[in-house]
Amino acid sequence: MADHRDADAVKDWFESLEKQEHAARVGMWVFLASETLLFAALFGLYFSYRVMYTHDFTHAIGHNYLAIGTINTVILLTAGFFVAWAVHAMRGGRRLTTAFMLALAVGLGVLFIALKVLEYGLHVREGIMPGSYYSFEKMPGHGAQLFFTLYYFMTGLHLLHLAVAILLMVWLLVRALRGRMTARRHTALEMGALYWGMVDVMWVMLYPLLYLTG
Amino acid sequence: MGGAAFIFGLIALQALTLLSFGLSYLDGPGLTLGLTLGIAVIQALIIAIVFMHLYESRFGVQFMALLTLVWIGLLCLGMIADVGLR
Repeated sequence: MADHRDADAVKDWFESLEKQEHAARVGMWVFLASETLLFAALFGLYFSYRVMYTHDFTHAIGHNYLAIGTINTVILLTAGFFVAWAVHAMRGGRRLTTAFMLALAVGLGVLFIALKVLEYGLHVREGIMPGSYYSFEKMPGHGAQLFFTLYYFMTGLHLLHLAVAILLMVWLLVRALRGRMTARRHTALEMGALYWGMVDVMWVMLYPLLYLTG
Repeated sequence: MGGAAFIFGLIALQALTLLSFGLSYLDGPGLTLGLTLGIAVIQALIIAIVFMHLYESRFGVQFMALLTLVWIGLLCLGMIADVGLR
């Protein structure tokens, strides 16, 4: 039955399921590469402005909430572990373990977003807003305004990617519970896990730039 | 590589996060930036190799990941040259 379903899953233009999965994996990595380059351009912009406004940037970083940033890093890395474990479990045919791991990852992802929103709220209360809405009196410099504009843009873009990753995991969780994945056929889960990995990589690069180097 | 690799990967990632956190209390933002960014690159590599299964991927996939690093390097080099030569 499983073999029959596997045969059905192979598109006409592929010789085998293995080749189809390899094509999906290469395609996903090409997509991840393009996403990574988008973030890399923002990192480049960050460094350019940091060279121009070194004092303002370090001062502004010192004002960020280091505890929240660190807790969020721990949360996201743990969620990444659960997603990787979900793939590992599905390869062994353990459907319920996969679903459980995905549920844990979704829960941690939501917690990350909640903490980030709390952090945004604390900033907004002080008048730290992006662009021309910036009105933080303790740090009136143009460099600080640029830093926080970049901060909102980079973390906002990351948050958007995380929200997409969470929705993907919920969809995969439902598929796992409904038995739509098998030990041999779970390409969607593998692709989703790659996407989550990229979201993790982006955050570990953002963490030192926005929280640690003040 | 089995499930143990994921557990070791997670422990390494969390330990490196704590190390970065500790380094943030060093004097000198330049030194901290260099060290913590170095740690972040190591963390990114652990995620890509272990959690994203790059270690067991075929050459075509690994080549794509390598190509991404080369493109990022070129992009950063161009930006550094632009800012440095102003």
